[in-house]
Amino acid sequence: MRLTALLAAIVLVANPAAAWAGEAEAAEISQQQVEAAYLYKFGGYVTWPGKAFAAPDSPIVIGVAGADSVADDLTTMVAGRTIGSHPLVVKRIHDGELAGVHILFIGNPRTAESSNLFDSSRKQPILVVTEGKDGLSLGGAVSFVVIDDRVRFDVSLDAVQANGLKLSSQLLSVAHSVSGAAP
Amino acid sequence: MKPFIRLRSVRYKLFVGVLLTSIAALLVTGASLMAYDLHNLKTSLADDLNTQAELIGRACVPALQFDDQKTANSNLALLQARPMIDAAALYNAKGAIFGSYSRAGNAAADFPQLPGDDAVEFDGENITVTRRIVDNNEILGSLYLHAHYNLYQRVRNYIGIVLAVSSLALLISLLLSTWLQATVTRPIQDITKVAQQVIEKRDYSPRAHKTTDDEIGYLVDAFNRMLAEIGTRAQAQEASNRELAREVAERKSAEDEIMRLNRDLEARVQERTNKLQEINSELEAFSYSVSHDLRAPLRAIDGFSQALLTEFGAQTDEKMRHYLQRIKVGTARMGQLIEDLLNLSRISRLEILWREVDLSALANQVVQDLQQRDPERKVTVSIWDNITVHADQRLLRVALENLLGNAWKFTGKTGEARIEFGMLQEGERRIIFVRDNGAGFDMAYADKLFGAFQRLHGMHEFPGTGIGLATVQRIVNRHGGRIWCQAAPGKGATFFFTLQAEPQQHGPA
Repeated sequence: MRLTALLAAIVLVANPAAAWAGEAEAAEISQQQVEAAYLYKFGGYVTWPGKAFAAPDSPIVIGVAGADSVADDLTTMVAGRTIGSHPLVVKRIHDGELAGVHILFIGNPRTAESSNLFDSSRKQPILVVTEGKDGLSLGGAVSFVVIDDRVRFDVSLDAVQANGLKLSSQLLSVAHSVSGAAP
Repeated sequence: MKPFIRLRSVRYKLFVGVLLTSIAALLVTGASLMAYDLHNLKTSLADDLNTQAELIGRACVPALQFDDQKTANSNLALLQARPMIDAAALYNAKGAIFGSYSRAGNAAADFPQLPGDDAVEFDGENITVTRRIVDNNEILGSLYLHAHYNLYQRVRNYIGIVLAVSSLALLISLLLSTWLQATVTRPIQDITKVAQQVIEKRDYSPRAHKTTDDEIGYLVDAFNRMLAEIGTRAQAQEASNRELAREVAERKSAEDEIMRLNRDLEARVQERTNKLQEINSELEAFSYSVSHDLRAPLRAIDGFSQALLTEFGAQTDEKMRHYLQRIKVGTARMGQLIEDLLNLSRISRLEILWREVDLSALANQVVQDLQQRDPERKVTVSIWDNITVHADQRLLRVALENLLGNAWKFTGKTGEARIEFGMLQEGERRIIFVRDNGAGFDMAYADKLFGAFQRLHGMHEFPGTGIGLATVQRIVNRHGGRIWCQAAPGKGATFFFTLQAEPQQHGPA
């Protein structure tokens, strides 16, 4: 037993890849976790207008509405992470207050509250992310869809541009579908 | 021809030296250039592939972040533009293969199960590159590239180029060395040619031509000085040789003159000898005829004296008979004298018949005759055995009769008479002797001994004609020998004689 443990330790030390493999086997990753991860990763591909940040090291605020488990996962994920010079902060949206939010995830788009959120985020420098095949028609700029048991996302360039944002073409290259014409 | 062989070897050595130097320089240069180039190639390949991996890895960041394998694969497919890259694999953060690329025509690439550390590895013609993909201080995955490059082809090309360049360089260096050889070996060749001329023609006048101021030029100078020195010495030698030849010629002509005089002398001697011989033989003929003619009247005197004694013996008185007896004894003595003279002259005329003669046997016969004639005598005679000589038997018999007869006669008054006949060997010479212990004689008269009619003793003491030893000497002389004697009065005498050892040189056999 001790010998096996020792060998495992050696393998772990010698090969970081082995360490990742160990993590991969540790837990089944849920759709919420994937969506949480994607949410903060979007931050790296979005260009906000200058006024959106008070200072170069101001945090990117990710607002989460109607998806508490996503908010929970996201909170643990972003701890200590930065995108460029910006730290990441998670904000749970309950009262429709969107001030200072850069990325908004609307977990349950077919509610009245969600509809209000869509409306109030319009023309604001906020990347609105939702889920479902009709997420874009409901007012989202990015919408998660599940294709072949994988979480993908659709992008509406019109919605992005309407909010005064720019998306990196690299992000578009991995999107499931992109609608709206490029300027 | 030898100098040329030696020269060829100098040329050959120069040639080989240039060849080896050039080849060594080219090989070392080629090898180091190749090593440097291959090292450069590897370094630049490693840099290039690292950059490639970095670019592709960066492009794959969104695909990894958003779990998009299709995009990842299409990103990897961009590697199609780089034919040297055979295969590529993208690993996600968990170390699983996320996307892969395999060049068309290549067998399915054999990717490692897990990505390694950042590294570039060369294995023969294969290169593998592993590079982590990092974004925002987060390891998103790894990219693995497998490429090939034509190492061996390149090495072969390189060797080909080196060989081609080497050949060209060799050719040029050979041309240069030929020119160099000419400048080095031509002066040597000149010296050799001059040396050959000197050896073959013994002509020290030619000089080697000095063309350079280097060691060879010095050699040429030294050679020329040596030639001059040798030339001077050779001239001196020649002069002294001529002087010597002149002296030799002078001596030769003097010798010729002497020879000529000798010949003249010999001719004159021969002429005189011939004249002398002529006179001698005339004299002998005269004495022979005289002796012969004297015998007839002597026989008449003897005969008539005898007739007087026998026919008138009764009428004669004592005194008459005594006178008649005295006449008879006188005529007998005269007859003996004439007989001896005839013998002497006959010996001179007789042809010598050379053959082996047993002197021991001859001496025995002579002694027996003497004993028979005088049986009363008691003489101890010792004759050595086996004395043989090459001579004329008749003449030797006469000689021995005389010598032994003398010994017999002169020991007549000795008490214990002893006669010895023997031979001494003195080197090549054989000396025959007859020794007695008789009356002997004074050596003061020894030179008179061998003349005719010489008598040392009175007639009444020892009777004889005085011709015997003259006869013996003549016999010995005719055999080319010599006779001499040793004696003392009352102590006996010894006669020695030799005969010519090589009778063939002395007249016909």
